[in-house]
Amino acid sequence: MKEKILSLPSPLGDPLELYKFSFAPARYDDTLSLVTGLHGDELNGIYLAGRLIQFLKTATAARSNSPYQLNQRVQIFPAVQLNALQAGTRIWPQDGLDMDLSFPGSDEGDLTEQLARAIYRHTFESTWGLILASAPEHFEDAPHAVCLNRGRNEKKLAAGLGLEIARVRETSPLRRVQLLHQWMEHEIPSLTLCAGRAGQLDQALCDSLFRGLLNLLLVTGILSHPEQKGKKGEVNFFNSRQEVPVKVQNGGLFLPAVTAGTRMKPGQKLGELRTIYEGDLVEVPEAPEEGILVSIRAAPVVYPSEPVAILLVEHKRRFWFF
Amino acid sequence: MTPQTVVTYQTPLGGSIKIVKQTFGPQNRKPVRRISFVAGLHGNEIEGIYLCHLLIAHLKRLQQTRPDAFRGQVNVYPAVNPQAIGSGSRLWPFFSVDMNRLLGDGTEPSLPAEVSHAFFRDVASSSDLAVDFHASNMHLLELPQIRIVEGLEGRLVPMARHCNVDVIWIHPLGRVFETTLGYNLNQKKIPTLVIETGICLRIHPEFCEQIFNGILNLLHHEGILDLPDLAYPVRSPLLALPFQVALCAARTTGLFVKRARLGTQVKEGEAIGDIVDPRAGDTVETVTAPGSGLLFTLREHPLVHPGAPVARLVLNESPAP
Repeated sequence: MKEKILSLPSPLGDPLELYKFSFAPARYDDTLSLVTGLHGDELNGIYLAGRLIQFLKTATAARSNSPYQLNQRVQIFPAVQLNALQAGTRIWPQDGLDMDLSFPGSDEGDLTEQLARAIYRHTFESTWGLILASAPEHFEDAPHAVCLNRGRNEKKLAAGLGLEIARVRETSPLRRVQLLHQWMEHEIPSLTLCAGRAGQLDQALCDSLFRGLLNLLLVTGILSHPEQKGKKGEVNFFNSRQEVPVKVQNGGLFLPAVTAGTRMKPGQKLGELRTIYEGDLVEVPEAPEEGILVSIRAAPVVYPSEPVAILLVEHKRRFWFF
Repeated sequence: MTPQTVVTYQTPLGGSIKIVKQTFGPQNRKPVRRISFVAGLHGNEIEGIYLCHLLIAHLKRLQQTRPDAFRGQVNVYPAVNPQAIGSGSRLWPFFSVDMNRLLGDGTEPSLPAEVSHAFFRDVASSSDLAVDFHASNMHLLELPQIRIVEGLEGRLVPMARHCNVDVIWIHPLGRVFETTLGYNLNQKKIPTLVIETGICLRIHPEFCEQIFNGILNLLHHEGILDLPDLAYPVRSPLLALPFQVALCAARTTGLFVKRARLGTQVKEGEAIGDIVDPRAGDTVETVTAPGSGLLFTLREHPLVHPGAPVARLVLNESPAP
């Protein structure tokens, strides 16, 4: 069911309308909320939400021959930062507010805050929460989960999605105004699925992530199928002390030699750094230790001392006191 | 005057970007106190950068004509986010980050975070007091005011009263403030005032002149400069507690055309401005004052959506609980 949950007049065009798509059996106990498009350039998530809506529409149609049965409610918010999406930007230039730093939002606030409030109001009683996002600006991410709790339910969510990596973030003043943190405060098991690159739509990646989404629905019992059962894989959790940013010493153009998700060996080449004017090779950044390359620089122009990659390492890094 | 580069970083093309500090102090004795002035954390807030210009120019002259006036040390950081200032943008371009949201705990590793932390260490290690200049965003015009996070008023209001501003606004702590320069210096027990005036991308000379006079008054009262012949009156600011500030927001959409004037007293029900529908030629809303008081914020950017802030008042009478 497509439901308009907020309509705001705009000065020179049609009203701005925020939609929720809900699919539910006659009786249900649990709700999975899936939110994407918190930034206007998170296109993989927006596309995935559309595919899931299409799948659930077919599966729940009155005369459907689909073997899938929906047992719990799924509500999908496929595009939240509507103005930025239409402007082709990450945030909306008019107010400059980052939607994911605007939660829990405000009914009396500016437009972005009202959109945030509508999402918050419709999701804070969910059983499960899932945000689809892309890598931070300039980077490409291997598919992984970001969560604020290393709980059994977060593990179930990540495993259901087929993710092998989960990064556990510590709370901070800025994270406290993010949707994920707001859900955590309501004790909703939740995570952000980060994958790919902002501003790009990677269909092959989305195919794989879509299979993960369906598997998650099966694992959680939200969806059932007479023959298919959900599969739970292994999830490796990494805390912030297990994250190793690899920085370059020089500025220039970074040309990656590996892709996000590669298991790196110590000394393995990450890419090349060349000067902008003459193309001289000035640096060959390498993996300092063994680890999983969760994030790699996708935008080539880099400043000196910027990270070009983030490795997740197995052991815990310790501080040594002399 | 001693110029000093406090942070340098290279650009991808090989050039360097510098954050510069200008220091003034007594010549042959230890400074009694040290104060720092910071501007340009947001690159489009030019009013503070101009204020630093006024201050540096004045201190240069004073050093030549009355070097004995310096009892303490004055550090001026006139342009701390040079690339954002060069682009006229609030955010640090290329990285799209807000330099005034990179301090405190939990920041991700990045060049802007490293630079911001290095800058912060320099300010913190060379200040007993500090003032952080800001202009408003691109929507609102602000009367010269000092904003103080609730809980810090006991320490900061006596200092703020010397600054010749119109309003001292005590406001609740928002979560994002914990990442700002002002909050983090205050956490380090360095009393820090955040001055807000005017609007971004513009200079209002009369506001800057008013605050500049206040800054000289502050420097005199804090014993940093000996200026016994200050000849202008310093206004008594209105102290606004959180519940005494009323926000007027648009209820509809269109172009806001102001009727009231910033800095004036308005009466309850008085029209602050109209919202017009430019397509239909209709006035769709008249925004009125929710109470009587001083109009200290007024919208400049005409485009409004429902919920967009239009004005703020310091109410003469507190609303009933």
